[in-house]
Amino acid sequence: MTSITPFGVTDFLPEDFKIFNERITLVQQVFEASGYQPIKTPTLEYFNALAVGMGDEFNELAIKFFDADGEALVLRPDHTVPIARLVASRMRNNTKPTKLYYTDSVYRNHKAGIEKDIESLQAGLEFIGESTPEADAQVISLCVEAFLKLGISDIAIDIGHTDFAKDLPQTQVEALLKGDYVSLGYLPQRGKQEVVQDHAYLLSVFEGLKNNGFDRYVWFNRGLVKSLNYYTGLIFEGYSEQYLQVLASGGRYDQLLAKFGYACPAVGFALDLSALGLKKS
Amino acid sequence: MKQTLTIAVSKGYLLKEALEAFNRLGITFNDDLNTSRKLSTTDTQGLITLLQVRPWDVPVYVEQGAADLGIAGLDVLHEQQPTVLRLMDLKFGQCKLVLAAPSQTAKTPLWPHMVIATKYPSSTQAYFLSKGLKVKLIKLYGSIELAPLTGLADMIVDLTATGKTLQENQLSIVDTLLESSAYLIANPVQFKVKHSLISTWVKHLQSVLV
Repeated sequence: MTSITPFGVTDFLPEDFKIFNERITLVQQVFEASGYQPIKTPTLEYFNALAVGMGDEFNELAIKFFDADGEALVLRPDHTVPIARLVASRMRNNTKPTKLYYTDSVYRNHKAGIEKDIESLQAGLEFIGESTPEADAQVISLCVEAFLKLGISDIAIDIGHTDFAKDLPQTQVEALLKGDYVSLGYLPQRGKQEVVQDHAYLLSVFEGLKNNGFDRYVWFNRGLVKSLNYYTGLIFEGYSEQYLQVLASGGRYDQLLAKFGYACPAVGFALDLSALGLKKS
Repeated sequence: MKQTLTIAVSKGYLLKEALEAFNRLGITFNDDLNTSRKLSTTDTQGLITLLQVRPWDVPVYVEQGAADLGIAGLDVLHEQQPTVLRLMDLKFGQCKLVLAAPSQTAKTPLWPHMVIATKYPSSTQAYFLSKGLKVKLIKLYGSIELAPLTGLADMIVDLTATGKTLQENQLSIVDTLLESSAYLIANPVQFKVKHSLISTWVKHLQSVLV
């Protein structure tokens, strides 16, 4: 056969592209209604420029190659790191909070045989310049709103925190990251505010979510820990029963911009629009 | 509506032990999968569907969400590294993943560029990488014990429960890569969607298996 594309990337015919464009428009409406502005960073970046923020996981997943001068380049593996680079350099004097959103592809290598896309389309936002439970509640609410706007209502948001792993020995942290509850020795608690009674910050996030009734979508999960090295506080994942996968993930990364020379707290999330496939919800 | 559970179980001896564990929980199935040729059956209450699949396919069913839970050997999980939650060591189906060699070579130290036949290339590769030894791997799908006898390989990496097959083919254990047993695994999203059902169920299972 001729004119085929590599595994993990795909063509979009007009009828396919229409579905994706409609989704992008819906999510944009939600983000813009809350005062977020669109931003676009390049598909290609210098590997060394992003490496400082990427951490081990992205360094492994990122697709890298060399330019004509022998400089290592990388295809953007996520949006948060490039946006942190940009805000820390050319946008540091902007009014805070700076509210940005994007709708663009990310590129990741996956283990052979895993049916994951190399290129996937993400829509997401970054709320930069404030470290408060209210900011986190607002970002989680926007994630819920985006799902609802897309017509996906069988959703739940699991909330974790980097504190959950803080006092655990390294072997148990690794067990949590792998989802290996046998090595961990127990099933992590999951529930409403009763499982985070010891955590004032998360309790106020929950209070914030009660204001718009979105607390009903939210579960605290003491097993939700991430390997992405940039998270520094609350972490969350949104998933849907009909899709049976995590469709949104995000959290707080208060140290990431500092790695690019500008100390400024931030929180955000990305929604995987490609994971929604071509079936209409 | 009552939530239901779909459980993928390896054919063979794990299935037998799993059915016994279910019986102890008071769960009985409409068909006896040990004798019937059906590949799936539902319990008498209509809440649990059991899928009978190949041992190597259990993690796939669970990872993709076609089954909520699965019962698979740790050897298979170790080899495939699927994105599933490991909920419980069920303690049955115990066996070992071993490096074995013809009795006369079993006592000599491992050497570089030796040829290893196995059904477990990833586990074997990880083992020899940790030893800093470059070896040649040959992937086989069965009758691994034949490989050293026929000159296909110097040694093998394979699963053994009693050691009998190894013995009968004049092979001795050189080293143990992994102690394996049956694990209860879950699809990460289904574990959240059916969280209270699955965690209650795990507790019950723990209480009858100790």
